[in-house]
Amino acid sequence: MTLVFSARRGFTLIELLVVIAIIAVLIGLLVPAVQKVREAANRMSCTNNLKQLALACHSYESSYGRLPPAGKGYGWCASTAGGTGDTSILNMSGWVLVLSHLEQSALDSQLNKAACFSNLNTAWCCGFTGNANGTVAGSVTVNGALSATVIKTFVCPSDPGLATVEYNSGGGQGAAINYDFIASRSDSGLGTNTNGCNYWNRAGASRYMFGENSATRLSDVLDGTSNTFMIGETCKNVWNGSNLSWAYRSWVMTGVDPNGGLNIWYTPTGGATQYGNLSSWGQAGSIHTAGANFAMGDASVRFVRDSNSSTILSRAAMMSDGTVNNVE
Amino acid sequence: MLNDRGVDTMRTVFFLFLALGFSAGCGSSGPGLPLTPVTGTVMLDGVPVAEAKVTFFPQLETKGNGGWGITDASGKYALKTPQGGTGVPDGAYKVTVSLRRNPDGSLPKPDEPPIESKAKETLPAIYSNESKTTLKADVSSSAKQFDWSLKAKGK
Repeated sequence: MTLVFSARRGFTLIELLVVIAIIAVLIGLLVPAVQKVREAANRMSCTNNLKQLALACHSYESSYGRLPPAGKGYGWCASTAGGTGDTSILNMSGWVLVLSHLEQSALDSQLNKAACFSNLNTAWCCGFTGNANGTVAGSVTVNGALSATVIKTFVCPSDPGLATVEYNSGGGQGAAINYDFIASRSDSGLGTNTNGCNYWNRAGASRYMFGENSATRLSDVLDGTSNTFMIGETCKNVWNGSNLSWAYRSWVMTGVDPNGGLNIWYTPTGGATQYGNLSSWGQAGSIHTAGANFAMGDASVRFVRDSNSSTILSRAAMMSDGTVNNVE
Repeated sequence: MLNDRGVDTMRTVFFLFLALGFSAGCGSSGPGLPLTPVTGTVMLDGVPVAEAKVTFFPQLETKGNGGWGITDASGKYALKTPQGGTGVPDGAYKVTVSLRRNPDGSLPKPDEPPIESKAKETLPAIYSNESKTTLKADVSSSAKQFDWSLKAKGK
């Protein structure tokens, strides 16, 4: 009798608790795992975008023999009349020239490449001089409005930052971009206050692959295209300065300069570090843990760790300085 | 002797520990660079300078991304890395000392982005400009105190 009863009896309290504990542990494992998978998928899509952009640059290079410039006709860099600044102020980003190689021909045909993309012809503030050698080309109205077009390939889905550019073009606020050409911060002409425009032409051995009016041939990359940074990843939130636009270049929107380190976040006085908010303009960074993606000159994409020191990163950015690439 | 139910309980307890074991494997962080705590003072014509920003830029083979510190009322500073670590890695550095002031002489607000601020540099370019500075430092475990005696007229 007792045997029959014990065989048909329900679960004990201990058994129930064990089962509940197991379910709790499994949920605890699963929920962060789902989040991780989502970030991993975003990261993959982000890497793929960068690859597309690098291939588009190569496609441009096979059409014209040279890579596109980081931008043309900057109006906010320092130049005296008769100095180094372009005479026609376009403030055009080099991505505009790559659009037709990214299957964006429709947008490409609507843009007026003879007119400016931002009408800024002075420095943003603070007594810095602008390009006194140039005049603003045409009206910004059409290009300014089109610069708000969001193009998926230009946006990294991992980055929750601002969708629009902090600095206005004069014709409206552009759509933000997460990737940009490797160009020196010296392109801004800051610190010279006389003739800083077209720095790339004078950069010598410290030349990066891109700059204002750059025209790099792949054979110019003496350090080897697989060793040299071509396009870098950056964030849509920037504390000191502005994030970047695919359409126009405005005050200090030079491109991505890995010199200075990756993922250098802004920390307000007495506050916590703001992950995803870069401390200054022109920096490389991403919210993928511990590094950022870079497209090398051969269009391969590498994840570069933020433990790399500034000196190593700037050497990898210089295309013909003759040093070995030690980036990890 | 264990009956069937006992075996089941043992099995579930076993899997519970297995699951715990897997989850305990997560969450570790890589080691950082070894840092040397660097301190010092900034004097301008023999007077301590408050609120000046001292920045160390790594040169040559120096690892890391440098560091910076702000002087207190007695001119003392202590370097921090951009990641908030105390000190900087050993090696050669170029140093700038910068003191920016608004046109009315007041100090810029701490959370105002410098690129959008009207404040201007008050120290000579041979101390404050990254490409023109003459200040250098070789940080090592035996050299971690760097005092800067600046002159308002440069040399």
